[in-house]
Amino acid sequence: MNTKKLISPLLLTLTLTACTNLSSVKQYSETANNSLAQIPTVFNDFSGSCERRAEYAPKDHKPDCSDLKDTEKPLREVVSVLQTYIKSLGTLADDKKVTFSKDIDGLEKELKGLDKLDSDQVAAVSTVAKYLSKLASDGYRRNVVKTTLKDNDTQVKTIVTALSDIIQQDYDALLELEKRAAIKYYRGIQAKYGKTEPLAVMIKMEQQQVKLAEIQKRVKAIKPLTQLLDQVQQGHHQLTIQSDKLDSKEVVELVKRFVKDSKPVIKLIKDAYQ
Amino acid sequence: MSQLTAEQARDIAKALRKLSSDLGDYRFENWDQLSEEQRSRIEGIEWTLLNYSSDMTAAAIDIATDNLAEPIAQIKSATEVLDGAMENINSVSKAINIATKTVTFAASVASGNAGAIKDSVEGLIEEFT
Repeated sequence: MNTKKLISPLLLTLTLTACTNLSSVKQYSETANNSLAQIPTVFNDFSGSCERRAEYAPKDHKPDCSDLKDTEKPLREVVSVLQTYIKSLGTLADDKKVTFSKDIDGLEKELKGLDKLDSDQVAAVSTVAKYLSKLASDGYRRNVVKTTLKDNDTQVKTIVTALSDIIQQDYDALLELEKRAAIKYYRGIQAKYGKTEPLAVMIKMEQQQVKLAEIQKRVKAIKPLTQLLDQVQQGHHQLTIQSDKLDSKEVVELVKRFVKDSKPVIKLIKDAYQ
Repeated sequence: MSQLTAEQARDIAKALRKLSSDLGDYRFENWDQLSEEQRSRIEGIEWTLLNYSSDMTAAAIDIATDNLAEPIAQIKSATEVLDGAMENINSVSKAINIATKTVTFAASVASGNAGAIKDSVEGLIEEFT
């Protein structure tokens, strides 16, 4: 019997009915993780800002920065859990990580040992087995990715919103405190020595401008940081609502836009924290 | 007493910060009218209020982070499912099962039995569904 005539239509049917392209999920995973990697730098600056503020405070009113220091590790862990989840999503979506076909390669040797099949038949069966296993595993991967996206979209939104609030409200509040401490300090110098040592005071006022500009640079980085987080959350949400057609042109374009929009924002944040 | 929410802690932090700032404005606007001792006392209160404001911000962050315990636990479980799926696909025992079914498939192809071929193909796909 001509096995080639039998197998070809089968292959064609399977190709038409079950093709999976999870590259959009993989691409989202890489960019989202790169975005999230920028966030811990901000958390490290919670106590950093407090310590800078301490330089302006009088000796007996120095702030205790240990409470702020203690907030940093749990926040880094939150980001780490999110990163690990997104990375695992990307790994499952990555065709290159599926090593199953290597096991099937060994089959050819076994099949040759069977008396029933000639070499053409062995090659045909081995090819079909590889293809079938890939299609089956692709279907399985697609289902797991789809289910995981749907089951966890709300949690991702909750976590990202909380991180965004902490940066937008609490980190902003800390930078504001640092700014007011600096202004209070330099105003005090101006009030005490403005009439008696005007030149020295003028130099100090220039220093103040430098310090305030540094604070302002960090304040300006807050909006892009929260933008990055919003993009991570929106990207996950879009993949969730499109999870039945993850290989569609629409989804691919969506993720390409996410990647493109994230790059300049990541650069801006890196520059702010150099 | 019920626990503060993160939002309440943030509101308190903001109020303390404003109070410190207003006191500072008062001190500098009335610098010459206030005695050295009065200026020193007011300044001390300003810095204390700033430090309390910072403490309330730290409290807000703690509360917000604590509230994430459940969603974080769920995301951790989801990650385990994803990692488990990867292991599933790559496990050797899965390959052996597939190999067995493929041999059956091979034999059915050799026999030319269309019904047996169909059953064997479905068996292969079942491994992953």
